[in-house]
Amino acid sequence: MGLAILLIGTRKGLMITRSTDDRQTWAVDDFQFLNQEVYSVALDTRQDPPRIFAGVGTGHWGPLLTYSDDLGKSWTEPEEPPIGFPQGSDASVDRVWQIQPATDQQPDVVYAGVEPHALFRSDDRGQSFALVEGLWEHPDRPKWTPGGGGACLHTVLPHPTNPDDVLVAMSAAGVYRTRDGGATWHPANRGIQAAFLPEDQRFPEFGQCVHKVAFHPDKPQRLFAQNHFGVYRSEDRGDSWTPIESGLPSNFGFALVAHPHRPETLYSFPLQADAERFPPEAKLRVYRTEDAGANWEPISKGLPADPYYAAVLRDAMVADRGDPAGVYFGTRLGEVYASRDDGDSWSLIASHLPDILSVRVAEIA
Amino acid sequence: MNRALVIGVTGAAATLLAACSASATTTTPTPTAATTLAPTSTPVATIAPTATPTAVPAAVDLSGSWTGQYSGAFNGHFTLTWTQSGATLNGTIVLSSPANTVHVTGNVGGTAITFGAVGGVSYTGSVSGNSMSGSYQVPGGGPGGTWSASKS
Repeated sequence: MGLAILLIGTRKGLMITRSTDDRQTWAVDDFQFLNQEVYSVALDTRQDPPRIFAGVGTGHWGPLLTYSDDLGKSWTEPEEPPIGFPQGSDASVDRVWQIQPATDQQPDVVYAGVEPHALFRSDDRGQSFALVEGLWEHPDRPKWTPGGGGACLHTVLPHPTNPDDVLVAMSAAGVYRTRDGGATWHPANRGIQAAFLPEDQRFPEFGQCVHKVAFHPDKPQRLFAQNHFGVYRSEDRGDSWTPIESGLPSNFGFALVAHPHRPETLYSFPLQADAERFPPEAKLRVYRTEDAGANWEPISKGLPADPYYAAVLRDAMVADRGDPAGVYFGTRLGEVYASRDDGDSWSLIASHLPDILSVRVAEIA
Repeated sequence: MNRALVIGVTGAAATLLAACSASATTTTPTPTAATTLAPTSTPVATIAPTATPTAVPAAVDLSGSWTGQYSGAFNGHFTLTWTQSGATLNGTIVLSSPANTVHVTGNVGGTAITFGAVGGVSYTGSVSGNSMSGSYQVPGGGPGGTWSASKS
């Protein structure tokens, strides 16, 4: 692996780190957007030069979606907001939760998931975004409710070979899928329990509080979902789901990451409970399955043995495309741990940071 | 269409350690950011001037409600409500997108106005009769834009 860039979005800014020695050591490049939350970051390597995106919350004026073509040395200063609801709309973008470049087939397409529940699409590689009206006008929308973090569209998963097939996940609206490029959307939550609803209403068509959905590009029909109480797998791209939480110490959590090369391998970071958002038994451990959720193993080699009372948020765990894969997670205590051996062992690579909200990594040619 | 904005770079305060290494001190820092070192020369004592500064009287009374808009990296409209005491302004700004009401304080001297809020929010501009306009800047060196308002 050549130059690896690790982006760490925090409550108080964006840290850019880089490694030139196959991820053995990491050097801090910059700490940017000081005192501003960075909920979403992305590294778009589909074109040269690579482009870093950041969804920055300024507080007073709301969110900014900006990008850098020089690996963070400078950022675009847009002459008008690149993302926003159409004129005449009463809605405003409160936060950019997710920035997701589309596949190589659409090198100029970038998606952004925002709060309130909405999806935006850029066809000019992030210079301007347009609201995906089909989802915004969905008849289910009036019944969507916010999750604990807000009414966020936090996950966008374009199909790797079919650009018209895109899946999104929203808290607490559930998973929705389009097969016609965004014109129409259908809920994809059958089998997922909404444990917070009355007992006789726990399997609604939509309204689940999904926290994260992941999949392996070589097997796009297979999805994994971490929900607000429940971990699930789908073998039909969301048409139906079955629980895979047996073997995990808790079915609550946020982060879920697929291995870059092994479709059966998935990483999870369970939390004790909804009201106890720290690792089960306060032991900092990542859980890994190598058989698509049939069995789980805790992996803690190199992680602190002392009690650990902090969570890993939904976008604060990620894997690179190295072989063996690098896996990274940042905690709300401002620490980043990395593995360069598929998760077998871990090391602390950054500490004393603000609350970590998002982590992304990529190799730069 | 987009201008390049160079964000101010500071020395990172984080502790950076080696990944998967037995040693926790094998960091290979290769910072690209310029580091500003504190001057080592002996500081020269300065004596505060004894002259009493002359206050610049406010030439206008901005008290009341102003409506306006802001554009640039962010856009929307706002309502400013000022109470003026001498050159000092106190009030609120109600922003449209996202909906946000913030206490603001400022000063007016001659035709120049500055105001801001907690968190480094800053607006500067000038007043001319029943209108005012200027620019705003996002804290930390982020992008900004322009604003204008007229008395309601």
